[in-house]
Amino acid sequence: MNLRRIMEEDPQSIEAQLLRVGRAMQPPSSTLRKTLVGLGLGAATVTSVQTASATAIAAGKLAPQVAAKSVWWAFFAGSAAKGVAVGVVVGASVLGAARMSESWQSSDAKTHAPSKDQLHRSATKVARPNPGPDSKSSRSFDLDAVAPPHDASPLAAHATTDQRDASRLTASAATARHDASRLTASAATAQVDSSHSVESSPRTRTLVPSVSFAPTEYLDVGPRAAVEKPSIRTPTRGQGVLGAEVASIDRIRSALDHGQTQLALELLGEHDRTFPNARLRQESAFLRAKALERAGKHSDAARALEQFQLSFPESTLPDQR
Amino acid sequence: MAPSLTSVNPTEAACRAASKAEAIPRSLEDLVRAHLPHVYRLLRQLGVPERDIDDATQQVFVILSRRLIDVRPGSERAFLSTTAVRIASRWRRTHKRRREDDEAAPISQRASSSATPESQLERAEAERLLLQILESIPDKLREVFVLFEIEEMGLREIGEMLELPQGTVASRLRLARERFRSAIEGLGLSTEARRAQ
Repeated sequence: MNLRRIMEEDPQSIEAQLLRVGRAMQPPSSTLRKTLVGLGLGAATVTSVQTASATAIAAGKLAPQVAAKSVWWAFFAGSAAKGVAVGVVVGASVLGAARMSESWQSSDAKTHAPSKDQLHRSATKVARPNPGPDSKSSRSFDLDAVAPPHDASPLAAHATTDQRDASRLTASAATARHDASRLTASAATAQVDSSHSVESSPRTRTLVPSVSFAPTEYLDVGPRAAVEKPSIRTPTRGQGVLGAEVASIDRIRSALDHGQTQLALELLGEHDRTFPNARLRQESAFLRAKALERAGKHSDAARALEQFQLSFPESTLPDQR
Repeated sequence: MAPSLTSVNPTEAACRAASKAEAIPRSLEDLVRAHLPHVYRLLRQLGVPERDIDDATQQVFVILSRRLIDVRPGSERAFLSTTAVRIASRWRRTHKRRREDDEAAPISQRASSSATPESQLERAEAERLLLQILESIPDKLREVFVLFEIEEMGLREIGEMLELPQGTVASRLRLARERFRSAIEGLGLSTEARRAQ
């Protein structure tokens, strides 16, 4: 048995030269790029999340500071973390409301001045995601809410003209732009310049979703509301169906890893709708059981796991130790 | 087998285990970057044409991503090789053999930017010639030949990968070499022919 290779036998032979060419073959750069894109990796990741910062943030001096931090955080996360997601920034509604309260009390204290409780309720109501008639109570935000560019000027206009009437302010804010309320923008942005508002709401395209980078000092008004739900996009020409499926699974896993159980379940539902003939059913079924378990739905999780084991008896996923 | 839900919650245990497995510090992107040339060569030399190479390559790495938790660290190359051989085999089964138009296309895009146009053309022509010769070798022989002569794998490793006895691997290698040399001679390119000139 001759174990010597042709190249070792006679390195100068035509055979060896041809084989040397074979060893030197390199893929074109487009192959690497397409492969990474197909897998949902790399700088040209398929996932595209439109990250919207809070709009119509706080009044007075607070607004530019918060806006600057929002932009900074969005920029930092978007540029520094390849394959990592960007979170979003939250408006300082409570602080804005407090400032608003001072303004009202000084200007019209005798007639229509709302109580602090009223203001608090107003701010809380606006800061909380606005549940539409069809929305479920468990949903903390809606993708549609942040997709369109939002202009805070209507909100500011409402607030400016209705400063004296807290109830009208609340109504205005609650019925104002859907996205603004979803982003927990403060209703008390009466004195916010609309140009500031626009500047403070950049739409940033970033990579992997569900990781939230937000200044912690502004998180007390509900960071989830400011996080856009990543969508499972229909595969495009440059991205194979399989690649899109992998990317979708990665998003679900990422959501789970970051404790966003509800989001993971929603993404799983969307995944099932997007990929009715999914090839990664094993992964999605297992992730569903995992998400249900973490959501505290133990009986559902047990059923899902049982179904998983019936469907994929050979799977090694649950057996990994 | 129905899962037991009485004592330890199996889902959570499985979840913990999966999370642990996911924590293996192996980046899929790094693996792609490290092994892409190897996978690309295998697929091309085993008959996947240029026009399908991106899809085939992606398939290989998608399979790796799905099975990454099962792949022992350090054995990714072997796993990828096996997968690429199977993908190429499946491709050959499902596609009629035909002379691909793109086979004749210059491969200058892969050539180094520092290379002269002449050397790029020579290399492209040599690659095309090699692929043409490999195409003339029966698939089973070609797999062994490419893995041994170009990817420099050992006979035992190839045997494990293809689930063949070493003797069979050696036999196929010998036959493949004969085919390879006769194909070169058929093109008037053999070393002896050159020397005779």
